[in-house]
Amino acid sequence: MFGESANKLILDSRRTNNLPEVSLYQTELIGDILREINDLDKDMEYLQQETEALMSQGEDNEANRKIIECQQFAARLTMIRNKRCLLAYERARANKIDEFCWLNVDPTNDLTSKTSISLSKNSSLGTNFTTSLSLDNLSHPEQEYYRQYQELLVDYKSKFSDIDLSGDLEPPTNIFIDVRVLKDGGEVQTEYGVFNLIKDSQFYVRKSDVERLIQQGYLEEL
Amino acid sequence: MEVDDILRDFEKSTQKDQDLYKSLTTAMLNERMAPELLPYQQSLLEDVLSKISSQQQFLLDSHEYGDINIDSGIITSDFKLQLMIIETDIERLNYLVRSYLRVRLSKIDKFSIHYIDMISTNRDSKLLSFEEQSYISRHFKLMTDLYNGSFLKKVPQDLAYLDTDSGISMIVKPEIDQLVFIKVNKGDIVLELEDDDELELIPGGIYIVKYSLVRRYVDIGDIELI
Repeated sequence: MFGESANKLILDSRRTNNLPEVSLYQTELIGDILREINDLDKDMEYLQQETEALMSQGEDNEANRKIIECQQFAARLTMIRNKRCLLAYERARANKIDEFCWLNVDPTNDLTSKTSISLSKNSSLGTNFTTSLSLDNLSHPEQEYYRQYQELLVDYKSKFSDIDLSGDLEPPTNIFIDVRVLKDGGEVQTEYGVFNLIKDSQFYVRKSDVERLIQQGYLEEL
Repeated sequence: MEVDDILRDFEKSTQKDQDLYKSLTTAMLNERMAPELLPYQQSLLEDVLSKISSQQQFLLDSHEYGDINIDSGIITSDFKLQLMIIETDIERLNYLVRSYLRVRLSKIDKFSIHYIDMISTNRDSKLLSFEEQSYISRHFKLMTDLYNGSFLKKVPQDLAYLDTDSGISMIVKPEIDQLVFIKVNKGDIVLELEDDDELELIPGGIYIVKYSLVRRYVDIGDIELI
C-alpha cells in the first residue's frame, strides 16, 4: 500500500526520539520511499498522457476523466505525504545530533567500545536526552552535517568567551562540589592544583573546572 | 562629609549592579516562559558581559596578589571569603546568561524558517542579535544541505523545494495563544477577553492568561512572565 514505508519510518523516528542515542540510519526504508515517490511520478506522467489522449479523441467522457483525475489526486497526495515524512525523519535526527553537539563529548566510532554515559542522578534532563552518538549510525550527509554544526557552535561560542555556553543548565548552588571518579583517566590540571582520575576516588573540586569531565562521564556529582 | 560621599557613591553603584542583576533575571525568565522569541537585550547583555570580564580580571589579579603575599601574613580568611563570593557571583551571572542565550537558540532552531522570513522582510529588526542572525542562516543552510543530500535531490523536481504551498504549511510557528503566568508591575492594565469580557490587572497580582493578550505589556516591562 502507498505510504506504508513512510509509516514505518515515522515509527522508527518516534522510537529514536526516546533513545539516548541516534539510531541506525534507515537506508533501505528511505530507498523504498524514494522509489515509491519516483514510481508515482511516472504514474502521474502516464495519467497525464491518458488525459491528453482522451481530450484529443474529442469525446467528452465525463466518467473516465473523473477516474483519472481521482487517481492523479491520490498519487499526488501520497507523494507529498512521503516527502513530509522524510523531512520529519531527518529533522528529528538532526535535532538529536544538535543536542549531542552541545554536550562536547567525542562520538564513539566502533560499536564494541561504546561507553554508556550515566547522567548524574539529580539531573532533570530526563531519559530521552541524547548522550551518545555513534558515527557509524549516521548517513554520509549526516556526518557532514554533524561536523559543520560543531564548527558553527564553536564560532557562536567564541563570541561569548567568558560564558561557558555548553555548561549545566541547572542553576549553580556551590562553586565547590564533591565528585566521585567513575572511570580511570589521566591527570587533571586545575587552578587549585592537580589531581589524578583513579576509579572510585573522591575529590572536592571547583565545579566549573570539572563540568566537562562530568558530561564526559568520568566524574559523578555526589 | 567625605565619608558620606563615598557611602553615597557606594550605594549608587551597588544599586546599579542590583538593577542589572534584576533586569537580567527578568529578561531570562521572560525569554524562558514566552512562547515566541523576544527582542534581543543588546545593551543589557553588553553590560553584563563587560561586568563579568572585569570581575574575572579582578579575581585573577587578586589571586596573583594572594600568591605573592601568601607568606607575609597579609592574606586573611576574609580575603579568601571575598574572592569566593565574587566567584559565586560570576557563576550565577554565567548561568543566567547561559540560560538566556540557550533558550533563545532553542527557539531559533525550532522556528527557524519563521524567523528567517521575518528577518528578510524586516532587515533592521532588533529581534535577533548579530551572532544569532549568522547562526540562524548558517544552521538553516546546513539543514537544507542535509535534506538535499539525503533525499531531496532524488525526488522529482517539482517536489524538491522546501516551500511548497500544497496543503498544510510546513513552517512551524510559535504558539502565541499559549497560556502563561504573569506578574503585574504597573496598574491600569485592562485586558479585553473574548465575549466582551474585561479583566483588570492589579499591580503585584499574579494571573494566568493567553500570551497574545499581554505580549505588548511584556515588551515595555509592565508585566513580567514567571
